Amino acid sequence: MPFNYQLFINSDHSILIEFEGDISEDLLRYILGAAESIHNKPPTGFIELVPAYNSLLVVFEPLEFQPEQALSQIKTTIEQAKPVSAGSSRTIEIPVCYDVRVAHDIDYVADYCGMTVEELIEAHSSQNYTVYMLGFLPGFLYLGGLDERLHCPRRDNPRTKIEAGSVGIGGSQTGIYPIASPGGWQIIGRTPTTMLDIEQSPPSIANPLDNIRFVPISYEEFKKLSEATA
Amino acid sequence: MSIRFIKAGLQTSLQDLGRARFRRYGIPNNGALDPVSLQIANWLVSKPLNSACLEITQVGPVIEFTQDMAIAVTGAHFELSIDDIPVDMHQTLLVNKGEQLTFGKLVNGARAYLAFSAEPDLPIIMNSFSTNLMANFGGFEGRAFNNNDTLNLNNFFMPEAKETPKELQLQFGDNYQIRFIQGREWSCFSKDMQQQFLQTAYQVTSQSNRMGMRLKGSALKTEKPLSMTTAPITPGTIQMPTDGQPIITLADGQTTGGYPRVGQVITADLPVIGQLKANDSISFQEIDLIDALNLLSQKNDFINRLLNN
Repeated sequence: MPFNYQLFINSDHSILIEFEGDISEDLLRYILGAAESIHNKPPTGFIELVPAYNSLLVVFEPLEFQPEQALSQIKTTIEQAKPVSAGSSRTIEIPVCYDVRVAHDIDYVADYCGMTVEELIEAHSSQNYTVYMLGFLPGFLYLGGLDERLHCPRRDNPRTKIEAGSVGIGGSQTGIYPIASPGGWQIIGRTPTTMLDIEQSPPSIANPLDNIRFVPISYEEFKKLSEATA
Repeated sequence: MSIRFIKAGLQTSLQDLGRARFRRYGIPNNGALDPVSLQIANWLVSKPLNSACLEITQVGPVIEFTQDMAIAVTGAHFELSIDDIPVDMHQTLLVNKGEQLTFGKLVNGARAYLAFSAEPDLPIIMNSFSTNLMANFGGFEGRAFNNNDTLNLNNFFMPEAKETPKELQLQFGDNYQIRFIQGREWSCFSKDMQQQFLQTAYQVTSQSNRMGMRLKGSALKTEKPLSMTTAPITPGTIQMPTDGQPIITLADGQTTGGYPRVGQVITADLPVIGQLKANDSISFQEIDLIDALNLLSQKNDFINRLLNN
């Protein structure tokens, strides 16, 4: 393990592993490699793993949790862990309609960023985004790679309801609301793709390390595809 | 066979002990906020202890049974009646076709659990009948029940009648000391602020729900906001947002968070949190990990001993 890390007792049913170093795909590959090793050699009472930007949570059944044993076993396992290979990641294309009829804040964001709407769409859809982690909402992907020119603060007044599939920008992040929810991001588009499918295993459209590309579609295509997935 | 909601109540949803192994997809546990009361209810109708119950919140429903069956109600203390005749909680109740169960006044606690001697005729989503109210899946159409909804049941059976052992006929107060172990960012707060956290009587606010319990007390603000990278959290995580008012993550809470983690409520004390409502008060007591695990196993042994007798 080329990254320094520390183990913490996070609760009476979990151990937190924190990795040092900047958030990067390299680090992420090691975190996922560590997760895979722990999964393959689980300590007593092991339930699940939650990987994040620079940490990994190991969750246990509290009645079976043996902290000392689990700490030393996880340490040994991580020492031997290998990073997952870059080849295992997929590229997933997500159609996005940037039409103002569903992209309520696109004019504002273009204005704020000092570009035309066309330039904004071009900048947002020409990038490869890496999935770093899932969280916040069921099926929500934390994406890395937003063009600095598109960074834009959240709305002063969060909306009480944002439609499922809405594509937004919040600060230096871009993402897709997988379900309808309240939210403060600037909405610049919407996808007809189902981001959370509870019938599928896994239920999310992508996993950490996958690449996401946004493919612009017209409002008419959006309508047609929305009906097809409804 | 079914039960029909003449009145649905404030928030009545189907819950069991929840779903595990999906946190990495952003999907929380869901499940009963007071899992102890849920298990006792299931025991009263002789079902596996993790079976699905109705979780009934503060204002209870009026329910009509379309067939004879056995039910049991545990948890928050409600005044109950069947066709206007008062009945007690904490025992197996036999109800006849056409009878109506009415949840009356809430005496104490916040959430009651109603177990029934049948299975919900609903799909199991990610290993659970629990309702995810946020993403609208699981349980009954992914939502809380509305007036006039009908919950279809199957695999009906008639269990023996039982009574909850006296020691487990729980009554709830409005003032609790909740035990926690230090969270990852506990040491980022000054000694004075830690003391303040331990000495504050926090009030439960009305913004609390199944995702989180929002508390109000003297604000704990650091001079500069602590810079945090989004990281995994679990039920019981006490987060301190920038306004200095703590939030306890509950069963429907987000799987990741970006606020400093002051502490972790011990698993043994989480069920009672599910019985608190707006204006109840709590304070926090710090204990160490070994005590937290001992308390949980003692509590578990105590319940198992009583239910196995």
